[in-house]
Amino acid sequence: MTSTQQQDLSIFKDNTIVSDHILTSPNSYLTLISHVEGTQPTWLVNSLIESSLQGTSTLVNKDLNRKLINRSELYMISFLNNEDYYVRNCKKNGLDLSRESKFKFIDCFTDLFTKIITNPENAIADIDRLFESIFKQISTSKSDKKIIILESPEILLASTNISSIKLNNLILKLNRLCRNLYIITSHDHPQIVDVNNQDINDPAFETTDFLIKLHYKSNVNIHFEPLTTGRADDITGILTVSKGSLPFKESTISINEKSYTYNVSKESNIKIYFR
Amino acid sequence: MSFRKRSEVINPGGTIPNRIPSIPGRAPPPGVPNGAMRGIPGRTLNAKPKEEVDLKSNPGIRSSIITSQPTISTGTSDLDKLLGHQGLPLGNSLLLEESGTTDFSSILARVFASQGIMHNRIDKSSNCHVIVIGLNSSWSKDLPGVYKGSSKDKKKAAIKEKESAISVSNLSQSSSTRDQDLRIAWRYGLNKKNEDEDSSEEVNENYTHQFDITERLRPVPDNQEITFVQVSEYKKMLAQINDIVKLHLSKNPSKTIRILVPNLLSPSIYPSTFSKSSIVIPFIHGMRSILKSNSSNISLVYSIPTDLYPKTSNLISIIEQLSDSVLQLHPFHQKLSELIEKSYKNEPSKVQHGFLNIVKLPILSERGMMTIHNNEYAFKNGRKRFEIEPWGIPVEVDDEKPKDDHDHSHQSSKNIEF
Repeated sequence: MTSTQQQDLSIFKDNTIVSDHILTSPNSYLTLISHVEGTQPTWLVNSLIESSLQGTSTLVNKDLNRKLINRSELYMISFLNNEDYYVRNCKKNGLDLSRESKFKFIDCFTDLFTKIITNPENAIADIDRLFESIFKQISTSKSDKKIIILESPEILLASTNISSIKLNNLILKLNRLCRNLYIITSHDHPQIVDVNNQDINDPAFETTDFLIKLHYKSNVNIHFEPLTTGRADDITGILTVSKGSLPFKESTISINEKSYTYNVSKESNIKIYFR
Repeated sequence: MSFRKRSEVINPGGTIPNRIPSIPGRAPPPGVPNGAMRGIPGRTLNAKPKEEVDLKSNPGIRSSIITSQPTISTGTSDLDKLLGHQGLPLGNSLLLEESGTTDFSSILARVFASQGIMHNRIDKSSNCHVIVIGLNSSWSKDLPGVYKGSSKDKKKAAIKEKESAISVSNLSQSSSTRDQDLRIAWRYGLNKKNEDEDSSEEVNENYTHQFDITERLRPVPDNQEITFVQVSEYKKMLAQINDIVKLHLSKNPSKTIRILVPNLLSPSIYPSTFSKSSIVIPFIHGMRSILKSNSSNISLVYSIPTDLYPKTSNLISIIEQLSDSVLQLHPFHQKLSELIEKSYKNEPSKVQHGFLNIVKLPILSERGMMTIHNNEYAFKNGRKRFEIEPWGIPVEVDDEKPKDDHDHSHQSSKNIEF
């Protein structure tokens, strides 16, 4: 009888995507999800949403099959997509987010440059107001187990006069309100990250500074990139899970540092392979 | 013992959430207020019930072959195939990046607009509206018209039209010759073939048309078919677009709206201040917001010259992030162009004009699929159609004249000696 090893994604050594130890911890942690053009991390974000809400991970880890009711409260803050996008994409994971009471979508997309930010060249007060309203919305809930996912904050850096330091400070404040903050950001080189960029007027200068500072504060880094050998039909890209600059304060939390190759099919089926 | 009326439907196919039994005389279950979720305490439905729009009634819409989402044709059948859905799914945007001094992207943009106008003219229900940003109404006079076939086809069509016209000579002729024709056709099964063709044409008849760039779309589209939005402050433009969209959807909720932004940031259309990232990114972000808020009616196509705004810039990267699909048109380098022309000098119709690179494809890229294809496809623009085909390096043919027999024998002996 032959048996093949099950190749599943686990970010922590306790074979989880979102660890119980993080949810019960009194501390706040930061995970950075960076991606390069051609490797959108939508499927991982969907799995994070699923795992945060009910502990399962249907598409990427078959061992995580025990459903837990109200595992944590999840706040999705997006500068790039509306709620429909997540509701539609999470259907594959067996989730109907429009009915999940613990899923809260904070829309920073629909009216961002029409109502929320009235003058992009002088937007600091507006962005302060936006983040204040986000803090308020998150603080009203008394749940201890909060997870926040923040998508594409770099759009603010590229289009307004906010500095990377200011945005970082706001993000740190946001991080303190939850157990784990996931930041999804593009990591294209040299468009977004270019360490040799000396031009302070180039938005890439600010985005590079922003990402480097985040890397200094993160506990887990998850990076997506295409195959270095070129495009393949059966492999989409490489996923690398690594430790961030800051360690976890609890010894029980340990990261499963690993690199995977993965394949996403047209029907959103995910296959994970160990490297 | 209680009886139920036979005609009463208890549960028509599966459970319907949030449905309160409508059995006469029976009150709703205790503790379940109207609109509240069952099984999830304290949760009320916050999702607004979406208005059911009958998109099937719109002849310009077809389901995507991958996701079944409503999809519209770009007017270029090869581009429709390349996008993977047999068109551009509604609620999605397509960014065309073009390098060099050519303007192939504007052909795709014009055909996209013409296709919308053609859909609008299928019947009198006004199915489609086109919004063009940055240009004026003279642009609509140059939209390509429908391809009517070669000169031979045109003559045939004219004869057919003449024959089908009701006249005394036609009627007297029809009874004898047509019966004979039909008998022969039946004998050889030609009628059957025609029937098959007819049925297949019926399915795809109005979805996509073939356009001829030397023909002009007549009559010229009017204000009811196409609206032009002039470049001004980005907020004013967004408000204007939003108003146009609302106005048209209030009249016909199943209408499709094609928004077109040709040559975005081109200095001949846009002022230099518009290229500031604090203006152009909010503008595109706002467009995306309008698109996603009306995802079952709007699609957006915009083109940008990448010689002025290179792909390695932060601005283009953010614009690509805000786009659902991205294609790049790279006209061939002069040397490669010369080589291709030389290789196909006997078949000029095979000469391609550039590479077409895929960066993002609608829906598939957002799902996380790797869709980058560089230098795998080439495009050529002809009078009849814009073709996209897999790229292959052409075989170089020697220019030397074929040698006569004497030379040949001389050469072969030489070869033997060697």
